[in-house]
Amino acid sequence: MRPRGDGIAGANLQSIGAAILCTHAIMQHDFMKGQKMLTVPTKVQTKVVGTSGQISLGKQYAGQQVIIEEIEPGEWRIQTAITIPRSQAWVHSKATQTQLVESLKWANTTPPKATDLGKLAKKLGVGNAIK
Amino acid sequence: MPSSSAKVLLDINNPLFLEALFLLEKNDKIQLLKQFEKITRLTWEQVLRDPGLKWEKINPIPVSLNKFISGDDKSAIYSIRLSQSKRAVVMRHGNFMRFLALPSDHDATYQ
Repeated sequence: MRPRGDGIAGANLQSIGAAILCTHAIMQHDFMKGQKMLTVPTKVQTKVVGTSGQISLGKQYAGQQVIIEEIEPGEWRIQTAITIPRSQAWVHSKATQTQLVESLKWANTTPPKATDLGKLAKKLGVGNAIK
Repeated sequence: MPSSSAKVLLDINNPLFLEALFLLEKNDKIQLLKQFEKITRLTWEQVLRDPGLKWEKINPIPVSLNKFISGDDKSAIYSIRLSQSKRAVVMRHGNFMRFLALPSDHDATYQ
């Protein structure tokens, strides 16, 4: 299963030097929109909490980081998560990712070509900026 | 096989990167051009070690980019500092540094 990673959550976590990307909700609950009840398909499992308070999510999640959100006593939401360095959080913004997807498509189909900085400076209207 | 003692060649031809570059204020354009000029005087080894350029491999790679890059050293993206407030995302292709993205101030300002 590949994480989705479509947003940065947890501003408070950034303050300690890391940003957490919420990636995949394991369970999603019914929710109300106006008067209509919309139901998102869920996969419900029953597990027994072990003597030391543990449950297993399955081997496929072994070693992964998760965020455990306590919605209310006795109800939790668990999401897989990845940690990104704070200095790179900007690369994960939606706008930058959109730009990068298009640019990488371009790079994969266009051979590299050296840029003449003098010509570029003139096009930019700052021809005297460089020697 | 790219050599670390080879001079860096700049590929600033990506349409989206150029579009973002053209939208900058005049002073920002001048700053970036000076930084480009500086980079062309450096070897790859010097770029990797230059404290002002803050060359940094992007890791983890945003999930949406997984199908375009594998993230190993032959296919990775990097962040490079172009001015006090501007960073770009680039990739290395042989001796070329290919500029891919120049985020707006809001996205890329140093915090």
